[in-house]
Amino acid sequence: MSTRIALRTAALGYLGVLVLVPLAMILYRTFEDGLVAFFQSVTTPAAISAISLSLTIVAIVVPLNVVFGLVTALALARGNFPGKGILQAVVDLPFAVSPVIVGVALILFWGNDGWLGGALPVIFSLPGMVLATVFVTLPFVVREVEPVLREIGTEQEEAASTLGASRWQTFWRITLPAIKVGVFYGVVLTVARSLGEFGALTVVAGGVAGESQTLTLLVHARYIDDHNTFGAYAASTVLMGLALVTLVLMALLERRREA
Amino acid sequence: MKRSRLLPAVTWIYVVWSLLPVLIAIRFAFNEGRSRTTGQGFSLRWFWTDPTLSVRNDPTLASALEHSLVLAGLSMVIAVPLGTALALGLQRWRGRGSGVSNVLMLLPLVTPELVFAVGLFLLFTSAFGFIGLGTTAQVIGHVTFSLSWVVLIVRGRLVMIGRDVEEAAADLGAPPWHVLRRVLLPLLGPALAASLLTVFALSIDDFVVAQYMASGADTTTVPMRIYASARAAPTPALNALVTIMLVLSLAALALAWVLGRGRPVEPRA
Repeated sequence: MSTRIALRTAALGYLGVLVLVPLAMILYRTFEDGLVAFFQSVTTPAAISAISLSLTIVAIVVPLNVVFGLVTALALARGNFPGKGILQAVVDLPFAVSPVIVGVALILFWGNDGWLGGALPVIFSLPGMVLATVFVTLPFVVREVEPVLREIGTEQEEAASTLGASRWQTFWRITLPAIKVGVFYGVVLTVARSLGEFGALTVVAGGVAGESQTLTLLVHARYIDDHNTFGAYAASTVLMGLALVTLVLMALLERRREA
Repeated sequence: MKRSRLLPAVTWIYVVWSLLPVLIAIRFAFNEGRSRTTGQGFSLRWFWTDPTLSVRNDPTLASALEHSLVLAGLSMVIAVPLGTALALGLQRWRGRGSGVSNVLMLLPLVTPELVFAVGLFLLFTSAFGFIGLGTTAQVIGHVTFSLSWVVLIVRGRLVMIGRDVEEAAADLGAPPWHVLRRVLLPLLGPALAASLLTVFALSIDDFVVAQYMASGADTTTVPMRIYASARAAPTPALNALVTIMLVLSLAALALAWVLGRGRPVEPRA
């Protein structure tokens, strides 16, 4: 028993010092000059534009990944077709690719000197940022939904179609309600990752303040380029707040899933 | 069966379209010539044979690769024992404080990596100024963000093992240390191997933390090198480096998947 307590103390001590202390320091620096200073710093034109760009990217990426995730999960769980094993493996591939490599590959493909010869203005603008974010979040919905689909089986769906329901009706009335929690969990993970993505975006985004700067790029620009450390801490606090909302949502979903 | 054709087709198109840029980047790593956009035969020039510009012979590329591997190695050696200790310590702990420690463990998984990097930078340049920036700070950063993954993997395996064998060993008179060393650790083998490989992949793919903790040219990792040269005038040696990285982390995650019988792990948000 005492071994266990010793292990617990040592490991939690490590996490406390290296996770909690840095975050607490950011919080302290953010609010040491009061709430007004914080509020002013996160409502400058550049900050508002960064927050809205980040949310715009989320608003585009989430529907794309939900549709792709549902289609792929259904294909993997219900379909039977040649190459299914390969697809199963390939879907996870984005997890194995460093975000910086995602960005570089996109530049090599879409960029002015790239494979397409810059035919479309993708790099350094919104489409490029969306493509990068879609790539790094690609597997989230699939991986949450597919196991649920396998678990619920096909009995109810078959019953519905025997009773004359069309495929579409079966999907909306039977399948979708059953996988709702899984879809939502996947969406939460996608949102969290999209908001926090930096590595891939820093390569493909122009990073022009007020135009092509997301919240993470704003933090970086303020911290490194502008030496506006207070502004960077304030923007980090906003990011961290969004991440904590994600954590709470995940905990609530976990509870519903177990119930 | 209309759906069984349409859905896979849509999926394949979407996946291939997403992966195409990466595949093309890999293709040009094997180019004979200098171009990174037109096919010019096949060669290993940019990996091995070019006397000054290949990954093997360009000192900046070779040293970045070496540093990445050193960081990954050190992170594995520290994060896996520490994470295993935490998993064992947290196992079946239901009392006061267990909720807090669970949140503490999940926190690194949801913290945006940039916020994490800024926080660590602040820590190592002020309160922990004696550590400073450099390799040590990079290792500590990698260990901290990969720790939670180790805990998740080891914990999953602990749940599968159950409590029976442990209790049997204790009943037969084994002291706790023996139970751990002779019974639990061997049973945890696959999870430990999967954890090692996952930490390797996480560390080698990381850009932000390594960048913020870096102190100069000798602490440059491969993703940092790739980032720096992507906007300059790169040669296919950059593609070659990308290819090497992909092969390394893919191999690690595939092995981890096979050993852990779980699914590959997602990098931190």
